[in-house]
Amino acid sequence: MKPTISPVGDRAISIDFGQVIDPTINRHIRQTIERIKELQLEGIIELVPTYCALLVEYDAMLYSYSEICNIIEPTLEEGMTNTTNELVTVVEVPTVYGGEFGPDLSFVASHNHLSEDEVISIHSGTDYLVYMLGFIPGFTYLGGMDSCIATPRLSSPRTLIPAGSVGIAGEQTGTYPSDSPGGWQIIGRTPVTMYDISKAQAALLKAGDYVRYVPIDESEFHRIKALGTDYVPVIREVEVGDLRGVK
Amino acid sequence: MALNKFENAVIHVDAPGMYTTIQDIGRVGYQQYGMPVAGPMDSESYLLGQALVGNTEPVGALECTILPPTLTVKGTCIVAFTGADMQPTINNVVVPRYIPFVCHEGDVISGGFSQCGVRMYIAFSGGIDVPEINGSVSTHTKAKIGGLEGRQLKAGDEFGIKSLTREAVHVCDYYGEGHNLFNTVLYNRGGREYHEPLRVVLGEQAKHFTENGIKTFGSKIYTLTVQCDRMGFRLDGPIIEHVDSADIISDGAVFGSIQVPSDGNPIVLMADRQTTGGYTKIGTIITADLPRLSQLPVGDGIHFDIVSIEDAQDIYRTYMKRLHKRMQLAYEQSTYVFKVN
Repeated sequence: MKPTISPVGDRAISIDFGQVIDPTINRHIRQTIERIKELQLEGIIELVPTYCALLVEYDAMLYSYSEICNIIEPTLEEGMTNTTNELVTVVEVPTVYGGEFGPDLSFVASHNHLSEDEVISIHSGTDYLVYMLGFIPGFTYLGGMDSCIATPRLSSPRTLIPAGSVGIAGEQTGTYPSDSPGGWQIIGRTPVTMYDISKAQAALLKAGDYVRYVPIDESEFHRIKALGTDYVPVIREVEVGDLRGVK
Repeated sequence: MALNKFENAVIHVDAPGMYTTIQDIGRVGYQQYGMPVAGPMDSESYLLGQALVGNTEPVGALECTILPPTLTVKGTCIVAFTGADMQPTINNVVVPRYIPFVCHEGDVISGGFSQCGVRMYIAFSGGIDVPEINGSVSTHTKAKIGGLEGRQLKAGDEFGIKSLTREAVHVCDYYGEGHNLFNTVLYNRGGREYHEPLRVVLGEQAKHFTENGIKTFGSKIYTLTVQCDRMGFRLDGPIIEHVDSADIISDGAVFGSIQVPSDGNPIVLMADRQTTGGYTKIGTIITADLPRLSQLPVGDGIHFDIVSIEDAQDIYRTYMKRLHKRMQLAYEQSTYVFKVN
């Protein structure tokens, strides 16, 4: 489908890439963002990618709606072909599974007729695509979880889920960037700060990155926690063909 | 008497008012990471306040809701009140809005319940000195970010005012009522009155609504419910009919976007909105009408006028030119400040 542009009020547009959640579409959106950035236009205020749309806020004193459409239109051509040696960014998120850090690990295991170790190896054996961020600062919407560990949400949400908690909700997985109430099944916790407000690049992850949960023990958790914002996350450039568990 | 240096002023909060937060223009550029923008609800009143106290860049000010705080000034600074009419006072003397005043050690700033409008801004020369997060001091209370510990003001708080050196400021005595300082150009938004329709550009998702639904939306009256806050205004009125589902795959939204969940009642997304949402959006209110909306109280009725994107952008350009002209006038006025004795 060819993306379509429509107005969002008098100073933004939405580009619709087709109403499906799909890695190819996500890639097309990222490619469009790169192309828009390459144009080095004045007056582009925000670029907000989501699952299958891109919101562009622009200075309407500089461009009319039809002018911005004419500028954006050429960036929408699907230029890249799918190759397995394309490089993508994999960000490691060290995580303690189970115990006090993951109180629902045993439920997720029994619900799916698996052992706890099997759940851990399945969950940490897949690289998850970051489709978008939203909801609260640093919250990532991930894709690609193996449905054999899918588990419904808690029937009654907890009032406080600690920052860094790694959870499963239905077929989704993700990390709570800050303390918040929530109904996800919590299987582990990372000591890494997902959204560090003291840094210019505040979010650890951005749309288009992949997340790799790496099992660690409690002493490693406390070592990383003690480093605080001095901890340097492990970030790799990986060929698409070498991603784990990605179909 | 002329002044040109304003240094090390501190503001002590004696009483916090109903819901007072520190706001600047907001966090721009971080929505891609899920960070909400925040910033003033009524950006027009906020910006005029900034110009009136001589700030060339928009910096931290107070946004007061319905009832303003009571503040004691330590040191010397210039303040201006804009937006809702909360009958602001300096040392118990009611002072006009849209006029800069100089405050000295021990002066007390306060006011009463709003007579008209919901949000008043108190601007300080130099701006409020609290740590910036992602380039902004704006408070977002739900995310607990910005301002003072990410929360509304409370009694006993203290915050600094940034130092400012500027061209000489002339100080005149304020004689109280009868001293005609009313500045109509600054005060009048121009064009539209409070209860004229809010103009809306329909979005691509308008196709999720029936013809009847769009007609209802564009002709009926919607009332502001008690669930109106800085995140969004929930409205109540005739059901806006969907074709089938009210759910979409989450996408981005802007200040003024109107979501309609399956119950058929619209929600206008405001300054503290989440960056993305999963409900169908029928359209977006034009920029020029947002300050007016943000000053409407609970229980008021509004209606919507659907306009083309071309008309909306003509209105936008006219509005922005006028606003810049008013800000220019306000800035010129900032060199003549008044003093309550």
